[in-house]
Amino acid sequence: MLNLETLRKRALARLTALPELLYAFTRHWFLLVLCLGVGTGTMVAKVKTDPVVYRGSATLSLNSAAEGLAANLDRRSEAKDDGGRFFTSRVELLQNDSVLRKVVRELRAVNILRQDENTEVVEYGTVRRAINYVRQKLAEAQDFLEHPNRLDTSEDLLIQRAVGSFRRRTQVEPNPRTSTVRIHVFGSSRDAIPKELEKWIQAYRDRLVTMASESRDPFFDARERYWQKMEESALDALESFNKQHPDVSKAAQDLLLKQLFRAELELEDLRRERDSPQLRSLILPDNRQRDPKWEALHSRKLQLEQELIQQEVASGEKSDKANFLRFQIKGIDEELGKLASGPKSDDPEQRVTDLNEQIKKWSLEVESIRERYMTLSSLVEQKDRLVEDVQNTSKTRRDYQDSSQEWAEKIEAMKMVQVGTVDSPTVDFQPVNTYPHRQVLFGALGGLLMGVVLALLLELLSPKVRFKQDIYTEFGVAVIGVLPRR
Amino acid sequence: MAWKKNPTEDEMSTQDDEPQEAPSPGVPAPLYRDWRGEGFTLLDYVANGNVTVPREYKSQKPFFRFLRKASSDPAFVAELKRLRDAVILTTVREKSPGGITIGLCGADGSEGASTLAILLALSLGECVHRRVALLDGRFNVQRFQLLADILGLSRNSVSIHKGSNEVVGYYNEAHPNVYFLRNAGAERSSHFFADKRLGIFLTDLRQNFDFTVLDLPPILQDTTSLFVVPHLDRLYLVNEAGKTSLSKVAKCVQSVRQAGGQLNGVILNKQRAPLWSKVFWRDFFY
Repeated sequence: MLNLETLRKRALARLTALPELLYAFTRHWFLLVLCLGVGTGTMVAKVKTDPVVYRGSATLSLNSAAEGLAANLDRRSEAKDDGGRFFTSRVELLQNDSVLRKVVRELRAVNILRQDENTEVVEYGTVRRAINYVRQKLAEAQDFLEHPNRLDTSEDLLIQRAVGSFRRRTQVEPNPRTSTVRIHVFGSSRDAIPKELEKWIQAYRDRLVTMASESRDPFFDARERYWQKMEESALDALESFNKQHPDVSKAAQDLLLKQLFRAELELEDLRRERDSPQLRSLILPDNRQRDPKWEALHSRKLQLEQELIQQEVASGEKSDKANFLRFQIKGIDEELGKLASGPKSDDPEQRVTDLNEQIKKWSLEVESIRERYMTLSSLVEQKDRLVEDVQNTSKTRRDYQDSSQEWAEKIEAMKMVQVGTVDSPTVDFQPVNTYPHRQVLFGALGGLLMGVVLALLLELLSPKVRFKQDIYTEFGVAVIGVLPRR
Repeated sequence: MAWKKNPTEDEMSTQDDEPQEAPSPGVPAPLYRDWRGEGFTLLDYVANGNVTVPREYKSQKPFFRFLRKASSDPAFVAELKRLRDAVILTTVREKSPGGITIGLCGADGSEGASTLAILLALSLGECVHRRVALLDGRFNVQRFQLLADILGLSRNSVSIHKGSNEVVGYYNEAHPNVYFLRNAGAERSSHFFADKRLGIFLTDLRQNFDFTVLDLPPILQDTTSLFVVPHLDRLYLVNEAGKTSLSKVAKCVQSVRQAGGQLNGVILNKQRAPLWSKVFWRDFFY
């Protein structure tokens, strides 16, 4: 029973016999010739039936893109470090699905797909038409395999197919040394190719710009909106406060403070006047006690009177000591009487009464002013806070607005800087598939290679006794002799 | 079983020669002489001898042409001698005093086993002190007759009894150590090999010959050759390179094992080699 393990062992054993394997090419010369013929014939048929394909090219400079982006994003050093990666990613982006989709949408999928069609079929002879028919059927089969729901003719699927077709027809040749990319578009219509190239470049630029804008902080807009809202609410609060308290201001507070000061000064003056010793001395003896001399004499008198009482209790009223004390007290009274004789108002009593009334009035006034002042102060503080809020929020909002503006400017700048067009789109004068010799040569070489591979496979997997190794490997029996063919 | 001095009448031999006695073993046989006076063997004779194939054996002409062409090919002869040496080398360590029996058979036919058996026997016969016998197990009467004619074999020669039948031996006078044995009667291979006393017959052959080469029918075509397999000392399977399939070889190996014998080796015949192998890498092919 033949199994894979046996085949593997056989092939491995035969691989060691290199000269005999080389002889396989001599043995299977017919196969080699056949494959050569098939390869050549296929390529000849291809060359004969290939539609005329023109090639449009353009060169883009991505160096400026890198520098521009780096300058705009403040990532110059990073761009320098990762220059290679950056370039590669930008080149890969050229054939990105989103870019190609945009091209297809702008140029319409039908026009893109039309570029694949062979416009020269009508000029073909019978054989070429037959070959072309087979090729068409094969292409349809391939298309069907790639898109099983091909019968679904929805717009999306059409775009998908057109994107596939466009991708097949494009070619990107990056040159990392000069940071340039040469892009090619192949197609059967000379007129449509430059348009496709232009749209492609434009879509690429747009994509880069979109990517740059997407590279912002994703919460940037949300934050900006938040602060805008905060500013609005702060302004509303301030406005409603102003409506509620229209008179609240620093000036009003200052004015009130001045009034308060003035009232307090007035009150103080009145009090000072009322409590002045002169006025007191006029209206109230007690007021004299404020005179230090009077105070000293008065206290001396009180002391002597106390001593007199004690003396009278101790030694009787008529004692010498008591008399002496009485004499001293009398002298002090005289002195006190002298001291009491000062300037006298006309009506000091009335004056004090007036003063007291005025003081009472002013005290009330001061109290009311103070109360008003306190209220106003708190309101002013509140207003200050609100104003500060407004200022802060508007400042933050303005910062965000400025940044946003800056970003927009950057993106606008990027539009100009991102991709430099070194060579504008051009279409080759001659079709690209006018080199049949090369294609046929490649076909012949491919066929020959296929033949070589087939011959080797045939030789390695042949079920016949060809090699000395076969017998020993499979049956463990030695080959005692090999005799040549006569 | 004994050597007969006067064998019975052979129906195949129509031309007459005087019966000759078999030479005693161990005596160096006189060789053929070429125009330079140098000795050469039967193999050389086949290659170089001016032999014409008689008209009645016209159908055997390609065989003889083939045989002659092979014998005259130096590369082929060199490989044949290497094969012969390999066979002899296997007997070097043999302790038993008698000779050995060597069976050569193909797998499915047309591998060239018969030709190879004849050539091997002739090559072994170049060792003049060794007695070599070639037993035709194919029972190809015409071919044997042709061989007898072109090699000038004595028709009235020794005969060996084998049961009820008789095996007749032919030899060349100038080269008396090589015997060509065939059945005296027109017997089929099934009759010949199914004989109960085949073992005794082979023992007798071992006693009389150093090498007995048996040309056996292909195993997958004629299973009667399996009868003799257990009695043989060596059994070699002849394969045609690039033609015999490995599955057939596997079947042969299995059949031989089931018959109680052992396959001692395989001979790859008709191995193709490119022209450049004459210059280098020749050893890879042979």
